[in-house]
Amino acid sequence: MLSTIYQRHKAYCIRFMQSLYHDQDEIKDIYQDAVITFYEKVQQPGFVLTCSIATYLSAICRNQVLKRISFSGRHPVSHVDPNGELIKNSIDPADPGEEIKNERVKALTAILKEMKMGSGNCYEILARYYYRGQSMDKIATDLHYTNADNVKNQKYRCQEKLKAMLLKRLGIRNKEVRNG
Amino acid sequence: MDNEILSELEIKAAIRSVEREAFREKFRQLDQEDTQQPPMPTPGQAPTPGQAPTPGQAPTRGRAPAIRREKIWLSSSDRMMQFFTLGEVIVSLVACFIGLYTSWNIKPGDQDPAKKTASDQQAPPALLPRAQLEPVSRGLSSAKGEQKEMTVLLPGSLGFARPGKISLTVMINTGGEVLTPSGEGYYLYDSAHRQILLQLPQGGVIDKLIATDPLLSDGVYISMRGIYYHLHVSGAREKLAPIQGKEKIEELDKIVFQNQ
Repeated sequence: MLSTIYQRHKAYCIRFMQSLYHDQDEIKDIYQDAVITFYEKVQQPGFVLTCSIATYLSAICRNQVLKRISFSGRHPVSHVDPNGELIKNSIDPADPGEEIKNERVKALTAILKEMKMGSGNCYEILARYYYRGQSMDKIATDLHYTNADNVKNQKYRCQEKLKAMLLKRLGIRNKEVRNG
Repeated sequence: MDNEILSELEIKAAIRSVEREAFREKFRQLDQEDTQQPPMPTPGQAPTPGQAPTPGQAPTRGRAPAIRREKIWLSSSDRMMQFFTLGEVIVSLVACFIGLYTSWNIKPGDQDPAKKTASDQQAPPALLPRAQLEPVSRGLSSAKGEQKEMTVLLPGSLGFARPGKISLTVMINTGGEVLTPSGEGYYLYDSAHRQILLQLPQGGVIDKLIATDPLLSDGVYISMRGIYYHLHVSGAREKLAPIQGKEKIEELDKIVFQNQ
């Protein structure tokens, strides 16, 4: 479904951004992030889409382009959004450029990647719960657990495992820093 | 933040990062499927994922390949249409050229040079009586001989707008006592009366009477036994001399061929 949305609105959004911005690579990145943001917003329980997907995506893209132009100091950015009324409160404030980049999160990201590649349901449970906002019942049904409590226990064990791996990784790194 | 505590915020941020990266990878694959052929990186262009940046080129952050500005090839039917349209234009231009050329060639003045000449000079192209012709042919040994109307062969004008028929009166005297050393004879071309007097050796016969333009401005040419002679407009007796120029011979050959 997301692939379909990505392909369907790609030409429109990219053409729209090309009228504002000339860095083709950045434009592509912005569009990809806009689709991901849209996906994440849709996952949120209270989210209501009050405009077309194309309008929503182009609004995200426009905001991101203007932010980057403003950041590069090329042009002063007007914060008046022509679609402001339509997409009020629909643009994710936590845009992709503001992902948490601290050391612990970087380490966690690396560990979760390994978890995802490995066997077990840990990553799947954590991603469904924290990223997609699914309920325990839903996760239990989808992943064939007998009930939600089992999923809750499994999630707790996964978090403990994650914490241990994080501490181990950070500990090793701290030792390396102290020795180095 | 205490190292012993793992906050939900951190887990969320890390999972989000992993998921976003997975999505980006998926989108890159979709882009590659769309383009079918991955673009060859050119100097200054971002390297494709997995490709090391070249010296002097900034590494990119998991960046999607640059948007390809591909040349969109038309389908075969579109190309056929283009081809036919082009052909149509060429045919139209050729037809236009032919039309203009034809209209130029058949202007009233050019359509029948014989008429034009006649009207200009107020002299009907009638055969003069021998008595009137004789003074003109003064210098030739005798005016006795064969007299006939011969049609002048004219260039075909690329096959279009062949001008009207032009005829001249040719009088041939044979067996005269005065001949050139080479034996060709003499001529007198009276363009005003559209008559030619020839003194030829015994048995001399004209095969063709030719002109290179409808107005006969360059005189006329005769062919005898495959040899061409140029008859200039002249009020006095002239010696027949065979044409030597290869180009002129070819030109006359071509006129003869076109009139066959």
